[in-house]
Amino acid sequence: MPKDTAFNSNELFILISGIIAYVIIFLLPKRFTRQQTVTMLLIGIFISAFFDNTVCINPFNYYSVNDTPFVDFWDMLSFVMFGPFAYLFVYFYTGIGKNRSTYFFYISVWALISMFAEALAWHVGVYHYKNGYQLFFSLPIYLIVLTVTMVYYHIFIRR
Amino acid sequence: MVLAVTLCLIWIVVNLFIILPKRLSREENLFLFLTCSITIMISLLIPAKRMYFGDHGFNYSVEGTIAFLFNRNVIFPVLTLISINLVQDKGLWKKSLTFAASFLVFILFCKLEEKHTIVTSISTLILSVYFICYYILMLFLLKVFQLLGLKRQSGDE
Repeated sequence: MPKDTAFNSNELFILISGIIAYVIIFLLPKRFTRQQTVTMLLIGIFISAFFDNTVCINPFNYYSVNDTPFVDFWDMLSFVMFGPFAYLFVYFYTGIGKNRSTYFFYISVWALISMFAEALAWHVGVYHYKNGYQLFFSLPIYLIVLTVTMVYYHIFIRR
Repeated sequence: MVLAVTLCLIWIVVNLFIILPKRLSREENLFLFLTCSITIMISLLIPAKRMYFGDHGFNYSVEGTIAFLFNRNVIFPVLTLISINLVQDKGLWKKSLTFAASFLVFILFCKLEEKHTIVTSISTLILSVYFICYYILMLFLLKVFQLLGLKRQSGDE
């Protein structure tokens, strides 16, 4: 079925969620240095670009992003939209009391939030699953990505 | 075969990065790794289009794709890290030597492993121009990142 290339729900979702996320970052009290902030934004962008340029391509080809089969302006903007993801994940983690198991529950909750956000994005047409891919398959990806981000926090922020 | 060669190359490149002296901090190295990975992924969108989205008469094995992904996301970024760390050394001849060696490695790697690096055949001239622009961009972004740290320090003082 041909996809609708006009400006509609998926583009609007990318714009609104991206703007909201960056405004939240701007409004929150600063806890990190500028270098750390830039690095965390880049981690989010890198993760999104990496998975969209790996899982989306042959021979995997498990989903496509937005309206065109190739990477277009809106796909690039969706990479940028993911920038605040790592920042907010680390930001809220620095603000809570921690014990030995906090990280486990924190990552689990964020993985569920990510799944919910992806379901929303799929619903508005940002993602188009193919070749039997299902939303649930993204869960291990989120768990790994969030764990890697947690490792970044322990190595670069906490020390 | 190609995957075995790529894995050996990864081992060599990563160990070179560990062994060679690092002039940049951990934060700067991470920043550089992320920026060069993103730049390479975006740069490859057009040349690797045939592989990414399928093309009649252009078959790619899973092994070949994994080798391509390792080249794109590990070997090229780590080689960039090694080169940019070495180019921070004082002395013009050292800088020139590092740049020349990096240029040579880049061109040779792209030409010898064309199918698993740049996928489509690209002329040496265009590759050379790309490498120079890429290298200058990485140095510029690193400088901006370092200035962000300096601004913070002077603000603290």
